[in-house]
Amino acid sequence: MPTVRPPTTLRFGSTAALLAALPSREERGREQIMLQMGSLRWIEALPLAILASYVNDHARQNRRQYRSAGRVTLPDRYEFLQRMDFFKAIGLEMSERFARHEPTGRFVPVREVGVSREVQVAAADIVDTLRVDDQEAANVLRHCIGEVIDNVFVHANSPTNATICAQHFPNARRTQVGIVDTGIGFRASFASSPVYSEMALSDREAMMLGLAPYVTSKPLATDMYDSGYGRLGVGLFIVSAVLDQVGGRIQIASQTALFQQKRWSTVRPWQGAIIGFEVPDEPLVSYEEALRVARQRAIEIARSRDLE
Amino acid sequence: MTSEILKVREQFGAHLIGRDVGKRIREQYFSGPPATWPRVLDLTGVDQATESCADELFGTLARRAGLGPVRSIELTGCEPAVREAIEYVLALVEKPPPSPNRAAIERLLGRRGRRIVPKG
Repeated sequence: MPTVRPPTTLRFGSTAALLAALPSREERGREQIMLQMGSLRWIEALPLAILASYVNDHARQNRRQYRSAGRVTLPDRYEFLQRMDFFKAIGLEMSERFARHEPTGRFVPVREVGVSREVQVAAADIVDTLRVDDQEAANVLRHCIGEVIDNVFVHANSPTNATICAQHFPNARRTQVGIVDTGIGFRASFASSPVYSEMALSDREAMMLGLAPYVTSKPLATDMYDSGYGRLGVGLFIVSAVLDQVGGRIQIASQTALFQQKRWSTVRPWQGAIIGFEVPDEPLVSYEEALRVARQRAIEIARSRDLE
Repeated sequence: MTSEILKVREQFGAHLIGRDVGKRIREQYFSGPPATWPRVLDLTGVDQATESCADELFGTLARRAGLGPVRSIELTGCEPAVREAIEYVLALVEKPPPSPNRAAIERLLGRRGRRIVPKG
């Protein structure tokens, strides 16, 4: 039985360590998996979304409910996991004898967004649930959540849809959001494009293109939106640039590539894409200003690219 | 049946986030020729519009029908941030950013001087 032993402490920056503990689809095959969470002491929104997405991917690949797809050992105190709907998200029935988050708590339990029609509602709900006081921070969060989930439906073809989790950290005065899919990932998305199919992109190169303005793996129309036209290829660049402006941070992982703290590293492969971001309670600049700068930067980069 | 004024917030909310909402507005009110479009888009109470939503609505219409008919839609009650999103996508239709050619992509990827190995 393939065993998953996540690190005891799982923070925003623990993605590489968490991925190292997750056997790939090929490695785990159709067997039940053992999720050993007995030593878990701390887990944040992004790693929760990753774990839920992982377990659901295994279950759906094998057309099983979790109770037959895997087993789990729990830490002494697992109320937090219950409150964050982790067990519900992976289809595991647990006693409901636990205290829900206080109304003053600011958590968005793990959930799946299943269709593109839900993007607008999900983005608004998450920000409402988190009760983000600062309107600028709320706008940044809604924008980033909306654009990232939108990308899952345009590009990912994910069997687990988009798994989302969010939480506010009062001491750090930041909100963390995790949006995870188990779809085709950046490299396969670009490889399916006639423009990039012959370039034999690496995972890192595909992600670099995904982060570059006006570069898209969908330059032509897809049936999904039937708009007759391609995508702009600027959404993820603007999300990243806005977060940079407001004092937030972004993390992206797909297959073997991880972009974190503006650095690249190689990780154990994740089938799909992991996007996490944090937004400060008081953004350094207004949402409008951050957007203006991001859009201007996108155009400047595109034009300078042309001039080189 | 075309209405003269489309009150966006009443039907589509204060936050125009994601392509789907742009598509719904377009399909519901702008599926016919420009003569049948609402004359006024009342954006009062709309706080936010993402590029993808604005592109799905205004960008797609402009590419299909031309910029003229889209520019002739009167926008009322429009917050600066929403107007900027709309203007941004219309500017991209008017003057599309250069699509990177193969050489530009290679530079972007730091592949300069490296041979690209075709797949297969």
